[in-house]
Amino acid sequence: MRSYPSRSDRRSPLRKLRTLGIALTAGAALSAASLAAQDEPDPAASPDLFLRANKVIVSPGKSLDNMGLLVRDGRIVAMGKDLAAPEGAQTIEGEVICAAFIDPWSVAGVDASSARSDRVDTASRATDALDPYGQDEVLDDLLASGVLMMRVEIGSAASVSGVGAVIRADGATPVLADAAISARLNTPGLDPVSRVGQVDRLASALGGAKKYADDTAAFESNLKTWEEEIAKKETELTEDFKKAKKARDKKVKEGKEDGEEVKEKKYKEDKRPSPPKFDAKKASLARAVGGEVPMVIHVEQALELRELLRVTRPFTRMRMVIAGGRCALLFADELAERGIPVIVTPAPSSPGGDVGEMDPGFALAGELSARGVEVLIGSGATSASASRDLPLLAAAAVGHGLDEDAAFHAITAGPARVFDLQSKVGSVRRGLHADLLVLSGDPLSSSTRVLASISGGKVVHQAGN
Amino acid sequence: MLISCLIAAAPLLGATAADDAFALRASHVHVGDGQVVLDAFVVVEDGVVKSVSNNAPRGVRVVEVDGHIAPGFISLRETLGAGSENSERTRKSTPTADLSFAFDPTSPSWKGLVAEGVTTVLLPAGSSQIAGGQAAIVSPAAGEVLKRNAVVTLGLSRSALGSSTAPTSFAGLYAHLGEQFDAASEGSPLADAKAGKVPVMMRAVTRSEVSRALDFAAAHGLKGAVLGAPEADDLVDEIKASGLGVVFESKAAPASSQDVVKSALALSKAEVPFAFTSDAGSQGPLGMRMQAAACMRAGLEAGAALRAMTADAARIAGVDATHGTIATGRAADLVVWSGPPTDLTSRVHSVYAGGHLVHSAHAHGAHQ
Repeated sequence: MRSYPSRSDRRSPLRKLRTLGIALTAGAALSAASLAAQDEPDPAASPDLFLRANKVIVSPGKSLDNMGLLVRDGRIVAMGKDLAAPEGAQTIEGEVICAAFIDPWSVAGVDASSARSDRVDTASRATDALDPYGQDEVLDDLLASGVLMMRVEIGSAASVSGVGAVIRADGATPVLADAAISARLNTPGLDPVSRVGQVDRLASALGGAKKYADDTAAFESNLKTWEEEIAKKETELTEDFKKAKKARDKKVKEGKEDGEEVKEKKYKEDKRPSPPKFDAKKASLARAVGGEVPMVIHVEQALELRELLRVTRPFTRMRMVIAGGRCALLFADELAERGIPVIVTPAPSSPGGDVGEMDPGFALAGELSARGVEVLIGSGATSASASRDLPLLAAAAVGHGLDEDAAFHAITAGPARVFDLQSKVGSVRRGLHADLLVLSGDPLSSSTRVLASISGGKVVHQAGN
Repeated sequence: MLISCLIAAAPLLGATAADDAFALRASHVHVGDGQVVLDAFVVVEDGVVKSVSNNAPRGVRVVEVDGHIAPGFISLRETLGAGSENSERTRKSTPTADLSFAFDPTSPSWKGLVAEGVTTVLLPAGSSQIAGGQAAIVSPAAGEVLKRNAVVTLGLSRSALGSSTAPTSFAGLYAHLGEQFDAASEGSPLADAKAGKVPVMMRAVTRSEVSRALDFAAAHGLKGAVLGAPEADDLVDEIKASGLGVVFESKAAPASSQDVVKSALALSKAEVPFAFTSDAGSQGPLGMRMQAAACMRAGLEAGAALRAMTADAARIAGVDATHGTIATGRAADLVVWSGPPTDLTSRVHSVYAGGHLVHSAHAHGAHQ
């Protein structure tokens, strides 16, 4: 099995050591160094890259004029007005430089039948379904349109579809293998009782996962106590061995005199606490319940969303993300208060579609944002090529009321933050990975062209090439 | 509910103000043929554009608008609200059918299309018929048929072939259609098409379908356009030589067509007129603008994209004398945008159809 960059790489050093220990004892082919280097951009013999533009959009709403950027070994190593191109560096100039677009809801780069599958569960992993060769044309189109990263998921026909990943469009390579757990409450054609039933099933799965997590935590704590006790006993035994032997001999002698058999004290080792029975599905879902990975739930209609918000209130650590959410306006206040972002797909359906009068169409993003809800814009995982239109969808949201900076946030810094990649991508800062676009104008303007796409420091597309 | 009431009331509100002449003043007036007049007045009288100039008109109420004025967009296929009335199922050939009968001005779905700046649509016959009839040009906002028997629609793609009803092959299709054209009597729709009086719109998708359609048009002296042809970039020279235009089928969902993007760029370079369909029933009201914007992101000039949705569309449909540009004598189908009309980030402020205010973003402020 291939190993991809995941959250465990960046957790506590202890965990990291343990992970490494497992990898080494398991005789994994990967060396410790290569495992640690997995999420680093490939520095293989890439010469310096120098970018210059009249405007660099550092983050949504914040830009600097007339800047140069130096990219080395996959990262932005320097930025400045007076920065000059080092000798031998490839230079690309344009009007605007900004962070690459990230589609927070996509199936591009994933094998099409896995994307549609109903045979997946919470432990299934999108990284097992990556298909860089079967989808090379689609991925090339993405590079040309500036969509260089996607959060992909699988199993669009399953209620819970496992661990989604953030991947680069360039070669469908994972940036984060465990970006989110996803679930959906959007089975068409169900009656209201069954629809509520779906929500309840999800709630009990979450509850089960939480119990599993609690039991696991209790076991770990008990184990620790037990290990300490044993260690203490061992020290005592070693140190007071003679005294203990004398006491025992005396006891045995007395026992013989009284005609009684001496009962040996049972050795404590037998009482080692036992772990809960391993359950991969619960273990996976528990990571979402505990807030370690976000939980993306596709829900469109009011009934499901209302129930979902109700049943998830006890799971205070869970970081929920609503996908779709055409009726989300009805719950905008609660979504804003609980800090639940919504991945809006400006769907082509017109008012009066399957969600009815409550569907505000293309205006949804703008109206949610105006009510204080964090809006992301995604292509909606209907087809791989849909991701290509991400900048158009964001532009259409602007044309229907969304603030321009909020729309830019919705396809750059927003997805990076929600899926915990803001320390790597989503904005233009020194030290960050060089996933950048060089444009001929403002990022969302329809007359702007993508002059160059830079993915992990590599020029993966240039206009006219 | 409130919103839909407001929309329903909009044409009535406009009607009261339409009798007297008025002028719109804007920073940019996009004529539709590529020209942009800066800081201009568009004078409207009796539903028709009276003048476009930089000089303030006298004795006319002037409405200052904040933004760009462009002609209302023209979609060269829209069957919204037609149900299945636009396609005869049992007969492959009904060349005299009048498609204006399929127009349902009361369909609520039109309002979404008008709100996206589309004021004129062509209602053609379904592509499963060979000669399905004569398309109507309608104004969904005004609820009027603008032109009956405007375009002869021909289905020359695989979807016109039957599995058990004739014709089942392209050979049979062309034999049948050729006979019909040859036998057409004076004054009949097919005779008018043959005489070049009425344009045709021939649906053909694959390269070979398009090639056959071009040959057929040449053999019978037909004018008009090919509908479909996503790979027109492979046949640019042939299409250019034929004098026909191309109408691309919009694809907003699940994704804009990359083939159409390439073809639109190639046709634009060769100066072959092209236009788009809206197909809002399946693609949503924004499909046409999305497809045009996808072409622009790949390098199509904004002016060419605008022409495709206005002047060139009118030319292909044979209504350029009355629609598609903002010029003296043309219908006052005007859209006020917050920015460039082809930019997806621009918002529709208001829409006028035949001089009537039929949509206003203010009345839709209910959501905000």
